[in-house]
Amino acid sequence: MPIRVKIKPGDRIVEVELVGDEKKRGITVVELLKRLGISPEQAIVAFEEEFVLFNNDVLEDGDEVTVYLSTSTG
Amino acid sequence: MRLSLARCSRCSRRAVVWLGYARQRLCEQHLAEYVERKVERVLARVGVAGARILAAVSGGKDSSVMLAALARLREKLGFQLAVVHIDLGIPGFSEECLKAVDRLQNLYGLDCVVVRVRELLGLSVVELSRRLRRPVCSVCGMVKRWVLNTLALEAGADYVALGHTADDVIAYTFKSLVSGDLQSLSKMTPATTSVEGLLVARLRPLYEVYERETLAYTIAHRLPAHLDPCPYKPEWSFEEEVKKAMSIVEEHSPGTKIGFVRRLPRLIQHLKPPEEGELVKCSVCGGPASGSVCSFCRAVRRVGLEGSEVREKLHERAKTVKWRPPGGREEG
Repeated sequence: MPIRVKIKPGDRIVEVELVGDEKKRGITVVELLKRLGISPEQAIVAFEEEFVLFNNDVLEDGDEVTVYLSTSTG
Repeated sequence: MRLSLARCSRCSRRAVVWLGYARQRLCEQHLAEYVERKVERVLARVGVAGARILAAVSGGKDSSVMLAALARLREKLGFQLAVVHIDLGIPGFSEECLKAVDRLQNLYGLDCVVVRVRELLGLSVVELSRRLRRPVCSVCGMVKRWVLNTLALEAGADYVALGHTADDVIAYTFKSLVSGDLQSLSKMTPATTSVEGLLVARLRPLYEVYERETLAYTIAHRLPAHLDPCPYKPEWSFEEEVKKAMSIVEEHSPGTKIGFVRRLPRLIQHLKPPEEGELVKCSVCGGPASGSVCSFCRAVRRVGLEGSEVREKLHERAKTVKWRPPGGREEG
């Protein structure tokens, strides 16, 4: 199962597939943002929309997170 | 999901945010303190002791964080605080903004004055823009500037506080530079100057706070805020592209943004903007104008309204502004 990412604003859903070694070790929040082409300086990632994740927290297959873009939110 | 063992640089709690330019990992609590400390420094430099600050709150994350910081600093810095929200009448959006403002005022025990554009003009800003055949953002900006300044004058405010972050200041600065608008550039300071009886000074408490910090603060503290953008926000804007570009610069060169906004007021001091035509009193509403009639009065006249009558309605609304003195109960 991929990592399911909701991007706010807009509530666009993106699925990120982990490949190779990533399936075992997962990917960090920063790596996820890089994969999505988003600068970590522009976003905050949260679990269940309110639990803020740190840059080094590791996401694994099946996780669901929300990426908030700081420059586009109201 | 596996949470990292990163601890706050100031305590043993779990870190939620890494501030590269400050080389600090902060927990929810210390992030709030860090943001408030930056606001405090800006306000102390401006000198707000004894001042009356009217906080303009939209219900978005930036102005919500600004209000949270102002509410906490009111007593320490000795200023009076009141809150205003402008209901623009945008279907589906304005209701959500108002809900957030309502929760925010309850949270901080403040009494927010709500000015409804539809009650003032009989139209929402969207309807007004259609009647004037002008872009919504341009009409909305004009209406908000007029309402905030007029209400602030009527209520005896010394400052109107706006939720402009460091990212906003940088984006506006670049836009002013690119368009050669030195007049606007010269106003990109933490506080602008007032013109007695005409123009109330603007205050930017979040001048040194990054938008990413207001976002993290809002989510981590579950601060009431409507995070969706206005439905009329254009798909592309110069300001937003500058913000994205500066985020990438900041990522590779931490501290670029904070260094820039900290140096900006000194840079601006050396600017010699072209002489601004002297502001005169609008012959209709009595507000600031560069000619005999201000742009707001000219616009509303085209839909059959007189600025003086609109000001009269706002005069009544201003009577309901409740100033919360430092350490005391609010006064009318």
